[in-house]
Amino acid sequence: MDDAQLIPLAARGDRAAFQTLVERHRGLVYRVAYQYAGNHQDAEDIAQDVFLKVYRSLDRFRQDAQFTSWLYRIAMNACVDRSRRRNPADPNDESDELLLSTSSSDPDPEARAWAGEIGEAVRAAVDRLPPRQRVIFVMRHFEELKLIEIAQALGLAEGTVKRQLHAAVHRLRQMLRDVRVTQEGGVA
Amino acid sequence: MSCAYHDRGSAELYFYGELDEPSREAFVAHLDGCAICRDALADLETIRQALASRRESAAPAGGNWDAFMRGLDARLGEEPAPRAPRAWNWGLTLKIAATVAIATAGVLGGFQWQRARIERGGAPAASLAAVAREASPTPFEALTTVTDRHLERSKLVLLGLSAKDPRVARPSDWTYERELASSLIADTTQYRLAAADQGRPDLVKVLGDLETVLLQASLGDDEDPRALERLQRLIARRD
Repeated sequence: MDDAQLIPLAARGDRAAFQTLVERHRGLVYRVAYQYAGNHQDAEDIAQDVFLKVYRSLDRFRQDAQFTSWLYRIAMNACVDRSRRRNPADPNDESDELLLSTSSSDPDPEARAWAGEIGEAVRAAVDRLPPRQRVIFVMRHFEELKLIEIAQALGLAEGTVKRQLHAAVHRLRQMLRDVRVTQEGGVA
Repeated sequence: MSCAYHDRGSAELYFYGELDEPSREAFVAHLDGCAICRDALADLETIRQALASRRESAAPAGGNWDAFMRGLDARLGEEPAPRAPRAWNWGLTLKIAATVAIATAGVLGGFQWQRARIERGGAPAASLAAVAREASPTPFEALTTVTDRHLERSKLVLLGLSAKDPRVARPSDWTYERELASSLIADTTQYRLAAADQGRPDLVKVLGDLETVLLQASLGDDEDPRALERLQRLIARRD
């Protein structure tokens, strides 16, 4: 049974139909959540948030839209919402850093060996971006969504998304400069 | 030192393939003479290489979904059953459509009868408008103006209110329906009075129901999160 047949059934409370939808799309949702969060615990929570929201909203899903596009939209917003819930005052302060600290403090040995200090620092810097910049960067860089698609998913103007991407890249480059300065200082 | 291309983010748009063809060509031509943009692209490439080692995962640790699915099931268990997509309230619509059509046909029939009577040599009328006035005293005139448009607009209110999920809809989400309902009440009241004058209790009942729903919708309280739910019950009861 394809998604178009399952969705109305799930919207009428058919748990088996909903479970089939979850099993079919959980990989995509989890991947997005993990790209954003960088650790399994947060990725699981975000992915569950996404499917709960899907469950609550199935009756409003427009059948002429792509189900996966709709999932992307919900997933992106869930990522941003989660960071904001964790730290409503300042999305870029220490607690935001802590949210993703797992990914930067526990890289696997191969990754550490390959990328070294710069790799680790860039990954940590991505994790420290403000929520919206981070989701835009992650969706463009890792998921390779076009900026116009991200704008539509987040309900933003494309120009805003471009500016946010620019700001994200600016922060990452700044961090890169800092690391280089530190390395040079260390060498000297 | 600064660069307009760099400042407006052209380097990352180029890097991510987001520039249209003319902009891309212009940027490539610009690159030769701009160290700032070349540095930006070099940094972006470094960032890409650094992130290539970032772990990806499309499944929980160990590829085991059991705990995830159990957790999701538990959270779903706390949710109320999803609302089935609300079907349009065809009962009320068809009643309105049918009764309005009958009423309109009656008025037009009366108008035709009057005109035929005049053509057969009955009392002359000064003009067609006068004939119309004679055939359609005020309450009847109201019914002759019952149009598909009124029905369609009423339908927009009922459909709009029925389709929203009261668990998540905010009062601002149905502002349009509230305002439209407000604008339709006066006409609906006129049609109901005209129907009463015609001795059509069935039509009076249907229009009365519609009037009640429109009135309640127009009075929807911005501060009351349960207002929409109550309206939906009101509509359902009048099916």
